[in-house]
Amino acid sequence: MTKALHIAAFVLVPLAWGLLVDYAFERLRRRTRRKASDSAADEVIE
Amino acid sequence: MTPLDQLDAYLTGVPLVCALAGLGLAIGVLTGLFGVGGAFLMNPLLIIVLGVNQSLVVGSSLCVTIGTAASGLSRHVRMNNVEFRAFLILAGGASCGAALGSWLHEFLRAAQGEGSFRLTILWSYLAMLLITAWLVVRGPSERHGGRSWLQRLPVPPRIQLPRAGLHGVSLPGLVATGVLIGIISGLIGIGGGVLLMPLLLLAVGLTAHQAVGTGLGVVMLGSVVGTIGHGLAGNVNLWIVMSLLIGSTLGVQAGAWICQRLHARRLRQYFAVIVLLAAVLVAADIVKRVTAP
Repeated sequence: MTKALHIAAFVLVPLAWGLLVDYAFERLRRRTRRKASDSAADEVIE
Repeated sequence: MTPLDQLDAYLTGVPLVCALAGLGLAIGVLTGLFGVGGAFLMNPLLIIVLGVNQSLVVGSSLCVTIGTAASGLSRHVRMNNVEFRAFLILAGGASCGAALGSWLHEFLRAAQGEGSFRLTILWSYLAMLLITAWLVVRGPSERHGGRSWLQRLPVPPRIQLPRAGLHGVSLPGLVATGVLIGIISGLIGIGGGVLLMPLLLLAVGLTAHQAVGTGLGVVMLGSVVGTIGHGLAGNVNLWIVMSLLIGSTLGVQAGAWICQRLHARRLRQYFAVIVLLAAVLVAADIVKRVTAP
């Protein structure tokens, strides 16, 4: 049972970490893009 | 599980974590950029530079590749760089081939003896890396109307790879390519990413960017299978894995970002340099074994 849990951890922990980091980067990218487009729109209005 | 302080490595504690994270960062960039697992570079560096136990290195590096490849694969999926049909067929073939390769490895080792067998494998690997580098630099030939090896292979049935826009690709040829990759990785004990990219490029006919994305998928699946095997043998250390992962998952994002901005020809040239670097490491290993008393 402990061995099975260890094996599951060896696969799931790196998998979850990898996907989490990618998700965080994607959120960051979207936020940066939105901010850039907002400031471009503000310049057009001014 | 052995804590980092009791690994008998040259460093301990925070300096060891920082060194592993830095190494992970460099390997991650390679993974995102070329779709390779990076074990060919990570394993010798962990053993020689950091003095980590050899048996823990192979299993832990495969475990790291799961996280790094998952992070890179997710990014490449969003960039439309993954040909899913080719990925599933190749991964299925590679899984069967890996089992066959492992059996062949044990059979040949028993027949030839440990030292002689290891040297034969290293010479074959070196020759294969040099041929790979040459094929990648040369790129797809225009002589046959830009059709790939598997499109010209006269073995039906044929399938389409819609995302890559490829028609008439031989299905048995695609399965055989996966099996071949699996046999080589099982026989030599590497992930196979280094050999996967040129085969996807020349045999299947994917673009350099699609080869990277699709290759990452196959590498990730292979790493899951390998990690389970090594985990059962007690060869995985989660402390080493997490320290490497901190850097590698950041590096893979940078690698995928650079990959999308590089021209296909330039991407192939840089990949050839990495393959030649792997060849130098293998050549150094051969020299060390030949000159050892």
